[in-house]
Order: sequence, then C-alpha cells, then structure tokens
Amino acid sequence: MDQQRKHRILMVSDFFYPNFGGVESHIYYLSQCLLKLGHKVVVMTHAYGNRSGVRYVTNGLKVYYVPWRPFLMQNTLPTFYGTLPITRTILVRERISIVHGHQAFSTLCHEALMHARTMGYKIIFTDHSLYGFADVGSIHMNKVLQFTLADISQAICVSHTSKENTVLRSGITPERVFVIPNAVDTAMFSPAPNRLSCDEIVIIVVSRLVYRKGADLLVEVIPEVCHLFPNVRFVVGGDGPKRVRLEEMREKYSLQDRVEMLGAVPHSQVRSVLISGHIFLNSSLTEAFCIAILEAASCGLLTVLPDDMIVLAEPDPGDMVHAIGKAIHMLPNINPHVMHSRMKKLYSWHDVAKRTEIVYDCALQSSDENLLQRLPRYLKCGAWAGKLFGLVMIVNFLLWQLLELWQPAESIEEVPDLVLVQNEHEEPMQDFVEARD
Amino acid sequence: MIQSSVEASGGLPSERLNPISSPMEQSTAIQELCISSIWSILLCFSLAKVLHHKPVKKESVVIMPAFGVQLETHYWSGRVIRRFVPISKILKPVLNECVTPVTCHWSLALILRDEDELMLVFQKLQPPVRILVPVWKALCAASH
Repeated sequence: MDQQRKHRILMVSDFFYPNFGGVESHIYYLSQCLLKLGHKVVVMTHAYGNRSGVRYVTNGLKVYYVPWRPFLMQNTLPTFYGTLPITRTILVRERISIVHGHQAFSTLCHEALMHARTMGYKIIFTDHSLYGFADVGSIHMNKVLQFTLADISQAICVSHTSKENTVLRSGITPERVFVIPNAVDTAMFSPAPNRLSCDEIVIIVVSRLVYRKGADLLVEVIPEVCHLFPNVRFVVGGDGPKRVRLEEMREKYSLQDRVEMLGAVPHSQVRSVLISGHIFLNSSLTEAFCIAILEAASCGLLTVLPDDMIVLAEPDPGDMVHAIGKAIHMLPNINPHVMHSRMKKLYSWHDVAKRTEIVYDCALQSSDENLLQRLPRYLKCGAWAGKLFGLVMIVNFLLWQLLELWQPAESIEEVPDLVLVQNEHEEPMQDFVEARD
Repeated sequence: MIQSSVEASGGLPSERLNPISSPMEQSTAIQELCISSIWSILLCFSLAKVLHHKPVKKESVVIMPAFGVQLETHYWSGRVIRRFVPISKILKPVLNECVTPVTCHWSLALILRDEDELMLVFQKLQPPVRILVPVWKALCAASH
C-alpha cells in the first residue's frame, strides 16, 4: 500500500500572488502545507505586469508566470490550443504527476486541465464559487464547466452547498466530488491582547463593495442601525463600484463621524482593522465559503459559526437590523480568546492539506485510458455540445501528436529539484549543483 | 456582343461560358489543385526550416583567470563578434529559466556590477543544461 507516496502537483489558476483574494490565498496556503508534507508543488499562472517568468516564493514554491496577457477580469485570453506547448513543456520538465486546477472562472485553468487530460495526466478541480443558472454568462460558464468536469478524476468543493451547486451545474456524479472546507491562518488572525470596552460598539465591514457582496444592503442597514443604537460606530473597509453609494448615504444622513470609510485595505492590515471592532457584519448575497467570516471569528469578533458565535439574517434590511440588535445584546458574553482557540481546532490548513492528499491518492488510483475510451464521456454532454466537445478533444490530441513530432518529450530537459538550505552562509545554488551530479 | 463572338469563332457557346463541364476535366482540375497545394505546403515548410537555422557556427567562452572573460560568436560567413568582460565587473554568473509564451528554456547570464541588464553568455544559441552547468561552474570559480 503506497500510502507514503509523494506527489508532484501542478496548481493552475489565473488567480495567484500578487493578487490577493480567497482563491489566491487558498492556493498559497494549500501549497505551503503540501510542501511541508513532503510533496512537490509548482504553480502556473499568467504574468502580472512586469512579473513574468519563474519566481520562487516562500519555502521554495516555484511559480511560473506564463507571459500570456490577461484580457478580461484577470483571465488569460482563451485561445483553446495556444497554451498547449507551454503546458506540455512545464508538465514534462517538472515531471508532474497530478494537475490541480482552481476556480471555474479561470480560462487558464480550463485550458490547462484539457491539455493535461489529453496528455494522459490525472486532473483535479476545485470550485470556489457559487454560480447561478439563469443568465447568459452563467449558462456559458456552466457549459464550459461541464466540458472540463466530463472527464475529471476527482473534484473538490469548499462546502456542501458548493457541492450541490457544482453537481447541478455540471452533471458530474456526486461520488466524484469531495468536500474540503477552507481554513484560516489562525496564527495571523489572533484577537487583540486587551478586550475593547463596550461603551462604544464598533461594527466592522470588510469586503469588496460590489453587488454580490451586498453593498446595497449596507446602504440601507447602516443609517437604520445608527438611528436605533446611538452608541454604535461603523468602520467600512474595502473598495469597489458601490463605494459611491455608501459615500452618498453618509452625506445624506450626516454620518461622517459615525461611519468611517477606510478604502482598500491591504491584506497585511486586515487583522489590525478587525481587532479594532466588536462585531463583524457580512452582507454577502452569496458565498460558497466565506473566509472573511472565519478570519473575523479567529480575531474574536462576534459573527458567524456555531450557534453561540453567530447571528444569521435574511438578506433584507429590516431583518439585518434586528440581527445586529441581537448581536449587540450578546456582546458582553463573548470571550475573544476562547473563540480563537475554537477556531484553531476547527479550521487548519494542515488538515485541509491532509484531506487533499487523500483526494490525490484516490485520483492516482484510477486507470489510464486512451482517447477512444474517453470520448463517449464528452459526447454525452449534449446533442450539439457533445459533438463539439468531442471534436475539440480530437483536435487537441492531433495537435499534441504533432508537437511530439516537432519537439519530442525526450528533448525537454527535466529540472532538478531545488533543495533550499536553511543556513544563510551557504549559497542555495550549491545544492542545485549537487542534485545534478 | 456575346452573340457576335460566338458566331465569329464558330465554337459551341457552352465551352466559352462554362469551361469546366465534363467530369473528366473536373477531376483533372482537382488533381492539379491538390498537387499545387502540396507543393506550396512543402515549399513553405522548407522555407520555415531554412529560416529557423541561424547562421551561427559556434559560440565560445574564454576564461582568463584574474583578468576577464571573452565571449565570442562565430558566424558561417567568417564574421566574429567578441565581447570582453573584466573580472571585476562580474558580480555573479546565474542560470535562468526563461519562460516564453510557447516554451521554457535555460540560459546562462552574468550579473554585472552597476548595470541593470543581465549579459547573456550565449546570445544566439540555446545550449542544453548539461553543457551550461560546467560553464557556469567554471565562471563561478573564476569570478570568486
């Protein structure tokens, strides 16, 4: 039983450092924990401005910033077959065994998974968001997702709701979907050493000010709460298209001294913003898994979670005001440090990494199949779409064979594994040389 | 006009207006098209191959310990381009992985003092890693 087998994983997504967000930090933390478990992880993403080429981040995590320009909302231009050569080169030179794609909205992820599947690698997909079914954008997105997931080895979702959503959207069998919740970096998000006084209650809101995150609800809730509870102050961090509406609301009700707008908060300063408050308000209309709430709970703010740590409300201003009132009454009984230690036990990235490792082992046990055996799965996707998908995969296969003739896999040199030395006096590159010899 | 030309030549109108009518002529025309397209594809392929080949005969690195490093590029036409780098100007030789939109290859470069740009040791050719590593080791030893 090969329980201790070490994998060589390629994480693919359009979203990675230097961008900050849920998906980016998920990939980063998961990769770090997998490195600690002894696996080899390489990340592939598109170039961010000047940042193009190979970079090494913490603990020797290698990142390929492939110089394909992003065209819309951080996504690479989808050329279907354009990324085949570079994907093949990276897969061969790093001797990858599993390809793990993140986020349904990332075109690079879908393309890389398609190429990897054509070349016979095992693929895994993690979905981080919930999507609708009704509008044109969602319909197209769901079709693309159906194509990618038609032949996937395993899929991971970050919550049970997300699993339901993914299964319904893509038609994949539920047995292939694992649920591994996200975690939070409890070391970074710890409560303030001294408890804040409860004379003036501070409610913190940190999110992107867009429609999906319920910024419109905030515009209605904040004046109402300020009117009902004179000792409450709001701190709003984050930026976005709806910020103008919030500023207008502030002026209309003359709440300049009671509502503080911080603008975009860099990720490193989120913790200091969170510990300056008592309650965390999250007004998202839809979230697959809200890391922000976990971070707030880790800092000891009263928010969402087991019954005594959460107050839920409908997405309706009246109900939200009522819930905030309830939270204010609950405030004196909250102990931030106890909350933090509960969070530490419940959510940890090492746990997520171990569970992901089980998914990888499961994926590698599935059998190898050639193109003819895989095609029926694509043809099942729909009357017209099935044939189109089948055709796309056949052309991909032919292009791959052509590429094999032009540049055989043997001519792509394999990269020796870089072993980082902890000692500052020795040069890290010294170990590179020894590995080659 | 058409009437008069037909009468003058005395030929059948259908042949003038419809040059490809009989099946035999159709297949001949298709054959010709195929042959010409195959020839043009072959021509394009060979042109591409020829253009792909660089006119460089060899590139060399001459290390003069405690003095400097001479980088030479020899062309088939007989032209030689030489660059000299004094040993004090070299901060460190580095092996880089260069990522292009279609591929990724190794290159050897020198980090120079007081310069923003890296100087590539092999500017035209792309030797494989097993050739680059001994050159890199030798340059490291010389620049220390």
